[in-house]
Amino acid sequence: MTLIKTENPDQCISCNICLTACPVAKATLRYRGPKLTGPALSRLRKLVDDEDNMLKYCSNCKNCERVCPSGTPIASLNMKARANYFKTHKHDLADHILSNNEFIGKTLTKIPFLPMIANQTMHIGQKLKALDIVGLSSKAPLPQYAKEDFYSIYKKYQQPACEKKVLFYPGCYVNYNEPQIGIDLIKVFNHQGIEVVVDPNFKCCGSPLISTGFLDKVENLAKHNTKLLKSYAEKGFDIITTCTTCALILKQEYRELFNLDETVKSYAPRLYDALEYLCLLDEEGKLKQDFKPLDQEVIYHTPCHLKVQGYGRPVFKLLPKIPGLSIEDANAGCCGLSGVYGYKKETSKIARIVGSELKAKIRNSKASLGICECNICRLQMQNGTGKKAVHPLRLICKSYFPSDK
Amino acid sequence: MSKSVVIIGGGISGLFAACICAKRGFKTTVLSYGQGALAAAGGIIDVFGYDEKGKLIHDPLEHINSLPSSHPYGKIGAENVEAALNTFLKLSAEAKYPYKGDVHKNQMVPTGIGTFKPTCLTPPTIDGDLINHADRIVVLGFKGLKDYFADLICENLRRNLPKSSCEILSTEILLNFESSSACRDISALDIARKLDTHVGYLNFREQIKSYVKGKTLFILPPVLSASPSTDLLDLLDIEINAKFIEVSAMPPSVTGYRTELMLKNIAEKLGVEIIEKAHVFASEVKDKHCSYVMTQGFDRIRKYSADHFILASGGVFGNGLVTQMGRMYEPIFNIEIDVPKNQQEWSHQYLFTGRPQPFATYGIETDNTLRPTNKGQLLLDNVYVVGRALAGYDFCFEKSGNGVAICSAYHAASLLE
Repeated sequence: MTLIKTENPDQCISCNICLTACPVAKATLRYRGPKLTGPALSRLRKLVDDEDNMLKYCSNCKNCERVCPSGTPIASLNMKARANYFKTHKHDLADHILSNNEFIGKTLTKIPFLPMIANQTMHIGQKLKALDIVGLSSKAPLPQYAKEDFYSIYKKYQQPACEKKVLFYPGCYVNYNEPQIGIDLIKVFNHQGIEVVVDPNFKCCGSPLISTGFLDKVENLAKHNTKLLKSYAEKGFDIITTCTTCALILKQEYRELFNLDETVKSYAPRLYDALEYLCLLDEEGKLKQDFKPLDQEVIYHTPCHLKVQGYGRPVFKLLPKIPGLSIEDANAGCCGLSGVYGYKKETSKIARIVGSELKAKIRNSKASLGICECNICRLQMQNGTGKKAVHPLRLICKSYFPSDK
Repeated sequence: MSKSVVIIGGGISGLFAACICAKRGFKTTVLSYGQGALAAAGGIIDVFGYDEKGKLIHDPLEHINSLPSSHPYGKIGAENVEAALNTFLKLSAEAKYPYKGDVHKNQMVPTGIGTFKPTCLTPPTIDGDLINHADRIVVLGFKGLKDYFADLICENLRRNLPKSSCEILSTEILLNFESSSACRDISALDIARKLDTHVGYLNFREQIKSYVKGKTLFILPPVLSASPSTDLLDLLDIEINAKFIEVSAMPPSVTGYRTELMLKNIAEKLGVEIIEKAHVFASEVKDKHCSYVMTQGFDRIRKYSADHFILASGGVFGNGLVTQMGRMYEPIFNIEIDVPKNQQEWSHQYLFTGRPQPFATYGIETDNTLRPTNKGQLLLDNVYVVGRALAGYDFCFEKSGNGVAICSAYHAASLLE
């Protein structure tokens, strides 16, 4: 039996506040906006099954849920409706490619030289517009695959003996594309006397599958991941993530989409964003304060998926501790890329319009480096701005250990 | 170390209180759940429009002197009301979005159907006085804008404006929006965003400039920029020598949204930390003293401690107050509101009776320092109630909503030690 949850869309009082916050509605009139596409039409969808072209325009960025005074799970209603739509409609090839991120990552990083060849091939493919043929944008910033995945690096990594242990859920991006974030996390946490445990049995959180409408597949991932997370929570582990989207899905979307309330509630109180965790250590007086100066100007972009989690912005509590570092708040809305949204040809143009404000801010900023927790946002921040973007942990790590390469 | 204040609620009263607290040197945190009601309201500051008999008030500040101490203004006092409103005027001017108006005078502003309503302070795009100086009024409609009727406004203005020498006409502007069955209806916010682009602005200017003859006033939906800025207003004044008054359109309200952005910008510049999606559900109170409040989202309970707390969580509509059959209460500090047990007594049988509704004045009783009381006994010594959760006023009937919000926020923030 399916676990997919159906709930009452009548929490929505039709105040229309979500229209002020939706970046897609701002970019195009082809999207009805969150209120109509989510709660209002969910009522009709209970009665009739119709062609619903506008559904594809929701990017699941969750800005509507952030501003909703009534707590309506607007974006999740859209994602469920999208999954239902695909029960009677065919997926295009792009959906299949984009939603298989974990399989592609796993395969590529297992074979020597393959990541390099794949990275090159993707760029050539992009230049030749070959990606257009399968429905992928030839203008979106492609992620690079790592030579070796994070799990393999972790196995070889020697950590000092620590009394306290935490579990790290790296997610696909850290695992297959940017293992450096995981290594930085280990170094920073070891410095606080905390050992980082990683379990290769975890699977993808399912974010790309949610966006492409493969909810049945997400359900299997959710059952698997929640069971495993629960077992760690019961053993007393705190669970750390560095990806704001993974965190959002593990603690919120699994509950909004599926009847998994009890399992998620068993571990959600122990699930922390890495920076929030460091902030809490600081409040308890347990954070090492030996930050060495970094003479640098950086510009910070707040991921939409962080804003909606209700714990503020820990970056502004931690990074000011680093002497010499000056941080500009980009305050430029959504980056637009929104996972698979910016890669699909039919929505990539909207993604570029949405992201133009952020990119202009970065280009015109005095800062030489972008920082952001979200992996996908960082790709967009780098795309055409001529500036690199890193996870804030990179700066914390550099400040603690300036002599590291 | 500086003292701290946690403000619960990110609407107009919460944000304004945050600005005052931060200016006074407090470490200020705003916990907000959902965007405040500003984007659902008009952004004008009503102070006091009609007395209990429905008679128009000309000097709102003078009227406040006659109010009983059960009314929030009665507790705040006319002197503090004046200081609050003048501080709001000053803050908005510093933010380059100067509100207009005089605390001693109600001005009449046109509504979205061409009638008039009294208000005190208005955003720079709603200067009601301009009507008195116009020889020609042109009501602008926009093709495709839903539920906005320029002809109706025009007709009602002719009926309501006694000045016969003033010519009143209407016309429709056509902007190049993508339009097909695949597109949604456009809103005032869409038009405002379009006019913020150079092309959109030029298109608009060229279409209206031939209507300028003599002292011309355009009445239009709230479309002169989506951000709190007078740039478009100033530019149009220079380039085509015309004046503008915006009237309300369907939500989201662009004028309210601009005011919200203005207050957020001011607050953030002053170092206020605004935590969004933070649902405060409970508090820790010992010996009438609150040590922390708690939020709960999808993960865990978070505690926010402070020296002072300002409750700006709104009324029943904003979930700041909760009702059950025959019962009303404030859920964070568990304050019972004294309401008739028989729910039928809460309201008149007919909604539009032309009389105040009893339920409208239900809210939290406080002392003159806005700290909650029960039958005169102080309940909490470091919690201050501001805005819609306060008892004793009917914002809808007397037209005092944003006025009470701003003045109570200012009063509470000024009392903190």
